[in-house]
Amino acid sequence: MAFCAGTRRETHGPPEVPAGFFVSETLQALLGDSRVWRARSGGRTWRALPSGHARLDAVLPGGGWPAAMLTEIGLDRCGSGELALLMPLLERLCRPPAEAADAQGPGQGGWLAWVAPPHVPYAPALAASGVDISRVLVVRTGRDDETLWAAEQGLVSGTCSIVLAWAARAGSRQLRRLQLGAERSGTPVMLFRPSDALDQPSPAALRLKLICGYCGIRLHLVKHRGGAPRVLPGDAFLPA
Amino acid sequence: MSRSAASLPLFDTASPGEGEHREACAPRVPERGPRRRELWLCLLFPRLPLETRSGGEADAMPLVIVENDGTVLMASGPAEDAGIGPGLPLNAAWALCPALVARERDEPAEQAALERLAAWSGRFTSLVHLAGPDALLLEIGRSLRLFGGCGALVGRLRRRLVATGHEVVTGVAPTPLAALWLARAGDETALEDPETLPDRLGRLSVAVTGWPKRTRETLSGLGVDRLADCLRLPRDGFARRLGHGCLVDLDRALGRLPDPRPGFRAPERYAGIRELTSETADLALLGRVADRLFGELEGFLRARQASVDRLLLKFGHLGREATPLVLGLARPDFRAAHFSVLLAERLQRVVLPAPVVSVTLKARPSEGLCPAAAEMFEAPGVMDDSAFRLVERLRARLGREAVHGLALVDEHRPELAWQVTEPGRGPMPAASGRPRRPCWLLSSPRRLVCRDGRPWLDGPLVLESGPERMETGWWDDGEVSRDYWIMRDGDGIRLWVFRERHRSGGWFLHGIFA
Repeated sequence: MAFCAGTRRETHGPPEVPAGFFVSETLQALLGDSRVWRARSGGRTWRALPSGHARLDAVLPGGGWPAAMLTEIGLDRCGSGELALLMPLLERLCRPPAEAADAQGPGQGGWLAWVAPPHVPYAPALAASGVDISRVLVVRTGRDDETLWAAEQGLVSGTCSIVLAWAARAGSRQLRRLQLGAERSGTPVMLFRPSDALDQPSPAALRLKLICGYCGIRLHLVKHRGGAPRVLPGDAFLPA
Repeated sequence: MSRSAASLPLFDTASPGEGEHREACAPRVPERGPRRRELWLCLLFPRLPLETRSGGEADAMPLVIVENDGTVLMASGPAEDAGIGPGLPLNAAWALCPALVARERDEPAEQAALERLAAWSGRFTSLVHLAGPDALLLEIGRSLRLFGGCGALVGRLRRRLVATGHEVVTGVAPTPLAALWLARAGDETALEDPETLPDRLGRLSVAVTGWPKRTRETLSGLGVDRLADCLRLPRDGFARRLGHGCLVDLDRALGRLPDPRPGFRAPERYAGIRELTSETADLALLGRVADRLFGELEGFLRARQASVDRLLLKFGHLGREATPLVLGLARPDFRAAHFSVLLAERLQRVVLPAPVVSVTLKARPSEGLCPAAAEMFEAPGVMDDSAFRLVERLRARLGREAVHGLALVDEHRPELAWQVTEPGRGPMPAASGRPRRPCWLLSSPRRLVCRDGRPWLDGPLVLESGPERMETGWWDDGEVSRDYWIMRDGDGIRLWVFRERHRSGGWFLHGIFA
């Protein structure tokens, strides 16, 4: 169960049993079943990209955003801190490779794809945050299925450093395709959806809700592989 | 018969003991210097009339091409299976196969197809000659080193030619006529050694020369069937009986007389058309037909060392205007496979108003060939070709305007401080010490209602910071005079709001901090 950098798939080896501890064979077989999730196993993790928010990194398995998986972010209103959350990552992806040795992947130097953003990503603000806007690729679509198609194309092309997509409706098959595309190309994909869409099951590795309140923004980890759901306090990350 | 021919004074390559005649009759052969030996490759397209009239789908149906006199010139595979062959009257052909499709021969189209093939083959040699209605002659002696020998060159050419959908017979010989004759005889074994020329040519039938019918009849009356028999005839008698032209042909084929061939000059633009045998709305079939045109276009572009950034396709219909379809490329390209992928994406979106009877492709080379080679020193942030292929693929389905990049403009008015640009073109400007800006900008400012003098958006907005006064643009028509504020709404979302100072004094939402 040891994690080594670059491993994309989690391993499902037999669980270690503490020496001298009696465990019946039935129980052992049960624990060996990969469908059984063990809260304290703590070994399952992913190749990570530092999020730039120390408190968040501390909670996420692997210490950051999954680098080659689907992340779903639920929010009710545009402006709930979704870009402040990702901006350090975007900025990091734009650094020259030598400076960001940990951010290596096939998409290094590729597009930062914005598929169907709700508004215009404002170039002066992005540039001020250190994002290389010449690498920004904005894709406008008419329907959600076009959005998911375009996002998948971006992933499978292997020419994107990251894919950000906004879609209200997404079928589990489409989500699975995104997850597979992310795994194959080693590219992170962030899908923004309405909060209540996160009540549906999904193959995403990480799902979180952003809840904006007057006292700050709360992060609700709905699902992260190998961890229990939890709510992070308002200071998990601070919008600039 | 050969006995009587042997009793006459001989031409050349005769049996021993007749050397004195050879001395007398052989023309002076110009001394060849150490110049590189010429080698000619003939590309003969025996089914060109069929291919130009069938859109490359001839093997799927019984189809015949009919001459003006109403006889069959050529029959497709299924028609041949029904027992139809060249020379058969069309009525008889219909009797044999009622489902037969008959098409008139279109010689200008054949000529155009041949010229496109000539332009295509320019990638293998600098000298291409149009030899007759169905053959090309390529001087490949100077290309052999580059392509690694005759066999490799011909093999490569054949493989590439498959993409254009043409059937080809090749002939290789040191002289153009010999290459042509070998191809007509279907003898595809390369003849590279001039010494073996008389021997190999001698085995061919007289019919391959393309001499007039009367000449061939005269020869067959003399009992001359093969070229070897011709070569045994006396020169002066041969010239007197059959005309000087035939003698010159023989001399040229054997390399005794020079045979200069004018080179073909490819036209400035590419224009290709494929007619379909019947109306179709089958997009997969249209894609395949277009692929053949793309194959030709690639050869055309390679020969010219050029690439295109725009392709114009036209789908012709019966009795109505053709449907145009423009394929724009994010970067100039020349690869048929790439065009084909783009078209496939695009065809999914196209609604054709009627079934299609022909496909036309036009393109104008725009820029020099852009090599697919990678950067020597990997420069960070430099996009490679595959990155732009993604742009093209997205555009093919979503439309050109749907995919764009961002660029900064040195301008104070927020709505003008950025602009849409071609992806990957926006330069990275030096960071300037601008005041704080929101990450989301509304495409146009949204007017907010005002209650008790305060802006309202599902509740009163609470002032956080401001104002930032912006008074600019008086020199053009876009004058703005605004005070920008950062405000928070009931959910705590930070909004970028301004108030018009002059005109209406109204409040507007312009951006969202996210």
